[in-house]
Amino acid sequence: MNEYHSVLENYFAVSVLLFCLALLGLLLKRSLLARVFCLELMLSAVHLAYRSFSPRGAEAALPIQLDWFLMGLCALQFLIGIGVIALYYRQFGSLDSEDAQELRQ
Amino acid sequence: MRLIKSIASSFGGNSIAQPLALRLHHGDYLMNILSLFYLLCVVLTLAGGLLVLASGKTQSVLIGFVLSCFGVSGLFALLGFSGLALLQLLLGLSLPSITLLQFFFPFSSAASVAQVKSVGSKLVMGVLAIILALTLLAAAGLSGRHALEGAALPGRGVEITSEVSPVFVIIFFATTLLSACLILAHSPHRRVAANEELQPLEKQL
Repeated sequence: MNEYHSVLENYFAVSVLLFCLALLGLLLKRSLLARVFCLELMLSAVHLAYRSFSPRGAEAALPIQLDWFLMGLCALQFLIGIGVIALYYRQFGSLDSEDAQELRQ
Repeated sequence: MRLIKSIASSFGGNSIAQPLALRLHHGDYLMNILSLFYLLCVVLTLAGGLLVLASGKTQSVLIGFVLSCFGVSGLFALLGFSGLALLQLLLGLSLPSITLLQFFFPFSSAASVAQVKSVGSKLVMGVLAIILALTLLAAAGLSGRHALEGAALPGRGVEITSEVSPVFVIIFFATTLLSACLILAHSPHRRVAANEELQPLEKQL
């Protein structure tokens, strides 16, 4: 049981670290593209934490189809994000989020 | 080698590798390799995250993202979810490729894609959207069914295989990539490309 907990702690620590790095990137980076990738990394970290809490191998009690939902969410979020950013880039010629202030006007 | 092994064990590599090595009926040799693999995955994940955070160039962000996805994929594999590891790997490769397609490729090469007329492309987009929606609905429905079965049979658990059908993987990623191509086809860059083609004519005039 202790061994299982130590494994859980390690995986959880990695996912928390990755989540924090991605969150910092989301807050500090100015490029919209980098922000989308940071969001994807945050989702990956959450997915890792979710799977690290579930029992492994054939005894998996949590439905694997939920992974499909998460992966689908990840891909759809990215596709919509990248579509919007590509249109923005072609309109304004920049990926800087500061320039996006013009969208408010 | 000893130093690396001790670092791996201090990061919990042994506790992760031991159950796997025992399950595969191998001894210390496999355990050492697996613990090193675990260490490599952790380093890749965090180094990729740091690269995304620290780099200023878009290319470095993409490389960091791929590295991080590789690391997470390896961790999924070590956890015993091989299908999920494959999915994560494909996702890590496909998303930066879509970005590269969108931003860095010369768009004139996508002219053949852009020449798809509106009715046909709308039809294809509709079919793709239906396939994607059906896949997601099937996933949601299956997870709901398993949750209901689990609730109906407390204590018995639910038998679920950890492998994902390759057909689903192919449909999913084909849909993603084709959707990206269709975004390209519908992009207003067509007008820009057309203007660029007209510029020499204007100069001549």
